[in-house]
Amino acid sequence: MSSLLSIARTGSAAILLSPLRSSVTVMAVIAVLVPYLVGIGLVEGLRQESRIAIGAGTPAEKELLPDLYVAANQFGRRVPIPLELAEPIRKFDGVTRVIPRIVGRITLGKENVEAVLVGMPREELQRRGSSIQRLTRLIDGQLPRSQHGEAPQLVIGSGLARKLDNLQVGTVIPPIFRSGGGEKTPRITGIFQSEISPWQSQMILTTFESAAEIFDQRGLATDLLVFCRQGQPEAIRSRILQSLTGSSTKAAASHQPSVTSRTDLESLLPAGLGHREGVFNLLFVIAFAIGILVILVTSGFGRPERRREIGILKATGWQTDEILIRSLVESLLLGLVSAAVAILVALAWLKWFNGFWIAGIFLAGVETQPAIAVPYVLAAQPAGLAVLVACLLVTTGSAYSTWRTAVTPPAEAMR
Amino acid sequence: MNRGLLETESLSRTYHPGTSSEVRALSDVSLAIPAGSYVVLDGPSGSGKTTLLSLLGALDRPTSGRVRFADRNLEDCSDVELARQRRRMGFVFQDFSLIPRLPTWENITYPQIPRGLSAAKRRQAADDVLSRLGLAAKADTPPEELSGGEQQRVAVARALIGDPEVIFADEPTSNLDRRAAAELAAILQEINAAGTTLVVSTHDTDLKESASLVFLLEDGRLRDDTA
Repeated sequence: MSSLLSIARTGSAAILLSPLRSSVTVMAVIAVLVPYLVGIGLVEGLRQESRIAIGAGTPAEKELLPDLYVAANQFGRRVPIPLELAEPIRKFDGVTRVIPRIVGRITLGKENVEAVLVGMPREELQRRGSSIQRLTRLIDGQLPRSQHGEAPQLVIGSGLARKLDNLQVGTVIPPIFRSGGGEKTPRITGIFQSEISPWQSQMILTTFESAAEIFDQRGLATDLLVFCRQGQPEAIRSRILQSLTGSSTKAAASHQPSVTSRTDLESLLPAGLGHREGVFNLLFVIAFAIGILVILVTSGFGRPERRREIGILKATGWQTDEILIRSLVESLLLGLVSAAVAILVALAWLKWFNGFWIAGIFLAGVETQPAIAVPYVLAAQPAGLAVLVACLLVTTGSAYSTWRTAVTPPAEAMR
Repeated sequence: MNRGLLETESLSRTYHPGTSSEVRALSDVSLAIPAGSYVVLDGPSGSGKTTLLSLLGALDRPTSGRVRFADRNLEDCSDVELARQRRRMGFVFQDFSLIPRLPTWENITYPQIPRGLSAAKRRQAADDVLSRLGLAAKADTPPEELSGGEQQRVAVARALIGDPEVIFADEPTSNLDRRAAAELAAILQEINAAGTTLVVSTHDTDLKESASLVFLLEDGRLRDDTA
């Protein structure tokens, strides 16, 4: 046992005996692992953010977000839902609140910056402790109060405000719509911190009434947010589908209701992220294969020296298995060191460099230098996998050549 | 011929056999080396001295013939057994063959690591040998910071550390100046006087003068009038 430990110790010392070879090996492994860790960290971060966004997180977060999203279908496509359908749903037993919402795309500024306009009822925006108040961190101004017929009041994300020539509270922005009610000039009434979530980076918030005017869609909502008592969502979902499908009202007759629960959204999450993750994993497999080749080539650094060293060890009485143990310990330690450095570099890349360049692969519309704080979670599982991959890479790269030299007669190895 | 510590019988070694670059380095060499003797392998460059030394020291396997070391046929030994036999031998190479960047005392005691000796015991053993060879002050110096003569003495120290039955030295003075060569010759003589068998391949007249037995090699063959 003590001889095994002594041999293992020479393996760790061997790292310093060939500094060039060791550093080139570590660099090659880091080059393979860091993009993988950063990518997986971003995917996990996005997954977590998405879960929070649909209310699948903590009980407190669940309470803030709706249990059901009711929309309408026509010809198999999603269409706005008539507002009158909110009334019967409100009356269902177990329903606590029904909030109509408008979500639409608009283009702003000379650069045609795309943004998502979200319209929520004025009362909901002003209600103390409402989900919108708790999920949106205002850094300046106040939430919108504009009523029907008034100039729309907008609350804009800080990132978007910067992009649009540093918009400030009180700024009037050029008319963005001409509806039946004439030309309206929106005014910025508040700025919220958009760096906290990728979903809020392109968001503009206004009242439901103003959003309806901006899109010139009276009496319609994109969807109805339904809040239910605990344990009731599934029953209410069935009831909405039953009652609205067979409804005799004119609006309901032409619109098939579509109800999406929080569970449905949760099950949809892996599909979207999994696709990007799958592409990324494929790229990583290719990088891994190239990595092995790189390690095989780089382990050629100092190979004559290493061959000679093994020859000397054999000549002085070392056995082949002892030389292999020494090499294995050296490779495993190099793998561990490489993985540890790769994890630190990946963390730094995500934390201090905000996922520079690689975030664009996972987040649509994000530039090389992301304006938002990219979400990331560097979990134990990918970190453990990185350690395994690093050890495997380095061991694979050196095991065969070490064994070949160790079984060669020492006179030949030292030549 | 008396049975010796080392014996060879019709020993031959051919490099790259069956190819255009085939080299017959050693042909049909039979000799015996008695225990405690000081043997010199003499001959011009390319005569097969290093090849013979490698085969005697189990550093290479012959193409044909036999090598016996202390009543053990080396060609019958497995890789593991050969390694065990080498632990009973010591080697001093022409180019010193020390491990770069490793302190002198570690270089000397590296062969003892698989035997499970603690670092403290190895250090003690290294200090003892280095004192005998006048290198006590260089224990922590890596080989690249030593002179040629000092490096060769470190190589001798490494050969001595395991208390071997035989020490093989391949042209040990060829890379040394006259003074360092004379010092090394004296050290080798002292080692032999203490009872260790010494097999040295050399042209050095000082080393040859001390030998109890000289084998002359020419074109890979042992001259008949040798010894």
